[in-house]
Amino acid sequence: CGFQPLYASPDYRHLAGVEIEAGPDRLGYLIEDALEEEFGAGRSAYRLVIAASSTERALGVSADARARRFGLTVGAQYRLLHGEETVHEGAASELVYFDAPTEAYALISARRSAEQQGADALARQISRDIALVLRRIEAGYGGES
Amino acid sequence: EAQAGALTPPGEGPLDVSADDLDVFDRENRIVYSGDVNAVRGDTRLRADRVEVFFEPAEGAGFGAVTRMEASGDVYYVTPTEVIRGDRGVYDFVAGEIVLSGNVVLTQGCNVSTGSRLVANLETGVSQLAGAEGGERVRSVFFPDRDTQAPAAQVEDCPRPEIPGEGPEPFVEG
Amino acid sequence: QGEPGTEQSADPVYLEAGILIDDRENQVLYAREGVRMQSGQRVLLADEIEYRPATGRVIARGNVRLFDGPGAAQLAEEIELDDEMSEGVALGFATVLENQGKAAAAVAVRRADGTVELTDGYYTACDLCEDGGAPTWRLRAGRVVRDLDDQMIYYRDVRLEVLGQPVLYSPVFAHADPSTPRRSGFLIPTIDISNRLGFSYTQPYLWVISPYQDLVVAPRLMTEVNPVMELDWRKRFYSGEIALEGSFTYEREFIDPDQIDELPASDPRVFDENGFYGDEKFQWHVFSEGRFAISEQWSWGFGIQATAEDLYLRRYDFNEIPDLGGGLYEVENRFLASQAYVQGRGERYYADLATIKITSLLENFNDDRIPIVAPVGRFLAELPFPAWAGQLETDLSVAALTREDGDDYIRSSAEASWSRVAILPFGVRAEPYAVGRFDAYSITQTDRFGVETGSSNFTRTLGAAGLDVSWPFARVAQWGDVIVAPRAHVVTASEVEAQDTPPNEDSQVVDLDSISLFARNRAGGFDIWEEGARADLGVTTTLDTTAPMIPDIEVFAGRSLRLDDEPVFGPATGLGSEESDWVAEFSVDVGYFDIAARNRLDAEDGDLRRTDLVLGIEAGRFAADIDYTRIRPDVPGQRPVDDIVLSASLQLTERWSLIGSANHDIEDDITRRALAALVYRDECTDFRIVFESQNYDIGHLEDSQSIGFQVTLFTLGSLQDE
Repeated sequence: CGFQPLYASPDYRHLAGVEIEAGPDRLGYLIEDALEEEFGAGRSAYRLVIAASSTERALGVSADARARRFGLTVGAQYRLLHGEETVHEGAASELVYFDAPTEAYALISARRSAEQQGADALARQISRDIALVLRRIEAGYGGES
Repeated sequence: EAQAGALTPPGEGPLDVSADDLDVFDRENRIVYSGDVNAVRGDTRLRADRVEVFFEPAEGAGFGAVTRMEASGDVYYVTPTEVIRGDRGVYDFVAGEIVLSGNVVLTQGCNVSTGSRLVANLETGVSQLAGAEGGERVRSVFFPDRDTQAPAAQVEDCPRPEIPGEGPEPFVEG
Repeated sequence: QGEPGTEQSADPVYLEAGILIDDRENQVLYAREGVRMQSGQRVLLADEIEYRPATGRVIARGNVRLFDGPGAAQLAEEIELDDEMSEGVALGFATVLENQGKAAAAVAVRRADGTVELTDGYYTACDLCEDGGAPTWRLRAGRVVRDLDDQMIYYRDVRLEVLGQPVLYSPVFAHADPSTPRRSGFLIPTIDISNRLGFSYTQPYLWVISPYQDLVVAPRLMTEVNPVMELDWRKRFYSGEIALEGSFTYEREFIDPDQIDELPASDPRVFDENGFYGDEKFQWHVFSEGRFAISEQWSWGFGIQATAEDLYLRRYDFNEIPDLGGGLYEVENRFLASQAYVQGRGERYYADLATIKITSLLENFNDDRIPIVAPVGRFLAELPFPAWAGQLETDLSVAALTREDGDDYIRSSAEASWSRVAILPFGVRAEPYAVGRFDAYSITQTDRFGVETGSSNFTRTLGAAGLDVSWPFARVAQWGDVIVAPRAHVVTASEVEAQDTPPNEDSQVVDLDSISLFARNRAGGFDIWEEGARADLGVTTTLDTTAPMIPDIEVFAGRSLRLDDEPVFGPATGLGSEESDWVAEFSVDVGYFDIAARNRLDAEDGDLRRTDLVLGIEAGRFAADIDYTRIRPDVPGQRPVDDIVLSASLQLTERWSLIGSANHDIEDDITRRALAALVYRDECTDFRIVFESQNYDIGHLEDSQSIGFQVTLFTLGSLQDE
């Protein structure tokens, strides 16, 4: 009934070893590392340029003005380039929730762990979106998804 | 070389026209000068390759008063303070007006203006230079610190434009 | 008038026009129809120009524009200048200064040195209205002088007019010429009225010390308490920047007078009728941060967040979440953190090392129990490895917590991890991975008096191997795509002996949802290691349409199954039993409305243990965002959470808008915080009336309601960029 395996498209294999450029800070490194793991190693003519950002919201603020839970949004604007030509432009974001421990160091560790999980989930979403775009191009529906 | 007598157009001073050739058309009250034509009147001069002079019909023989002159081919109208050049020119004695058109260049001492049609009214001393319709605009350059009203001869670093032909140089004051 | 003609021969005047009339009798030239006149750098455009070469006078009439070099145009109805166009009188004169300042006048005299003197002139940053209507605001004055030498604009008999109505009058007034870079001077004051502090007036003064350094000093005068002096200092260096925000006052502490009788008898404080207690003392706060580049990839920095009294910030309406003093680590949640750090980021590595001093703002919290974190560091790097064989990475880290009252804890770890993605036939994506880790712990127990009561040093070696398989299918069509993405993650991990279990400092909160379900390190830290074998299963179904009206839908269901041993996590995490709670999540997006809910359902009875719901509305001029959080922990003693956070904005007209936000605790049925603001914004003005109320039980402080007025007239005494 028209279902095709998403990663079966030959183009997707050409992305192995895609050169990735994400921001200079910690979040940039985590996303770059996670994307390299997503696409696997190899030699590719593709380039993926990413602008990453994160914002946080305090939830469940109670009587002592302390949040009981946080929502960390890790987002990225990305462009897939083949040489200088832009193949696809898109945006992706992941919302990672974590409870707020009462101890300060545990809160620091929880926030860092949420950032890591957010980067991994974001990388997985970007690689799936790109696979889908390649699949649509292959099926003749143009790039926009 | 044909020499014509002084024609007495309205306004002050006789009109003295010299040219290489002369054709007279009595019935059409018209004389045509051609070849380095110079029409001098007082301290002004009109030079052209070809000038047609039109007269009023006279009762007896000969011609009535000069009404208009039409010049064409390298037309120059020269006064003590300026030199105006154009492709064609009409000197209308009745209206006291000179109209030069086609690549008009007006030179006053060092100030130079270009346009496509100049109308100079001799009574009021007002001349109007206009650009072509939707085409060439009027362009001028002025040198504010030079006294442009000085007699042209004394302005040494702004040479007067060359006027073709051997026309008279009547303007050297005493 | 300046002396005619300057020493060197004047520039020639170039003229271009539709018609040039030379009236020799009166020695005057008229140029008409789109006249352009240029002399040196000055260009004059006008409908008509009258030029008298003999006297050098130039009169331009009809939408006159005078450009003096690259500077802004000066507009007028009529201008009379000398033919070097440097000096003259303009009627109906307006000049557009760089960055949008505009000065207009009935008569303007322009000196040879460029000074422009306007009589019956006005200054505004708003667009000049063609129909002559009054701009939002302008400074109208009998006499205005724009002096280019000292880059100021001076006024005499000046009135501030808002929409044409006079609002303020002053005999003399001056402000910096907006075309010049920053100049010292008074900034626009802010006015607030609050039930706690009374009427308050803050008058900031900007002192531009150098092009790279400025200081804002802002005394805040209040009717209910002594004044507070606020400081805001910034300095930029070649390789970095330092910013500091601080304040200080000399006042007694105070609580809500109405709550004095609720205090326990044991409370030693003596209160006056207004709730003040203790004696006047010096109270202050400092938030500062600096960051400097050491090299292309390395930088160091510091952050300072400190205050004299736990409740000082809250009493004086300072934000307890500082926007300064951050750096590598943000703590927030009523903690302040001062830190010094170094950070490096290269193509193949990331490294940071920091020391952090944390203090709490909770009023009866024993700060001695909060550890000094010195040092805490991490080094992540990709090791050279043949491309076909996958990726090899290392993760070295250290964390040392020292407490005055409580246990000291030092952990250092070294981890190596390998993974390789393989796309198998039929599009199956398989990713085997393996992790090896070595931890070394040194724990020292101390009692309340700082006496060491025991210590233990131990090391442990841990390993895990896993396989992450996903087999997504996509049905691609013109109108959109349907994707079904099953995923399975199987992993087996080594055991941890009982005596090798450290105190849990960094893995205190674990919560099962679609993201943590497949995470390799669900514990979030190092202290807890999820041993044994488990299988995490989940399937995502996505409908992603290109047609606007058909909603995009995504549904996820999944769960985690332990294949042996006992679960490592407690019941509140959803992973407390052999079969985890169910994870059920969905999102629907119709463009103007979108909703996403992430739920955890109890393994046995399917009760809703936790919901995180996000709702967004964007309909024309109205937009709203709602976060709803509901937690029903199946652990006695843990308080349930039922909380909603709303923020909304309504664009009333092109310039007026209404914004609001609220935090409502449904469990206690109290709106903890609410804010509403009426905002007017156009190209030259930003004006807001902000109402805010806070409702907490903190330090017996009175619940605060306040109204603030903020006016920003662009280019006039404001630091924010337009």
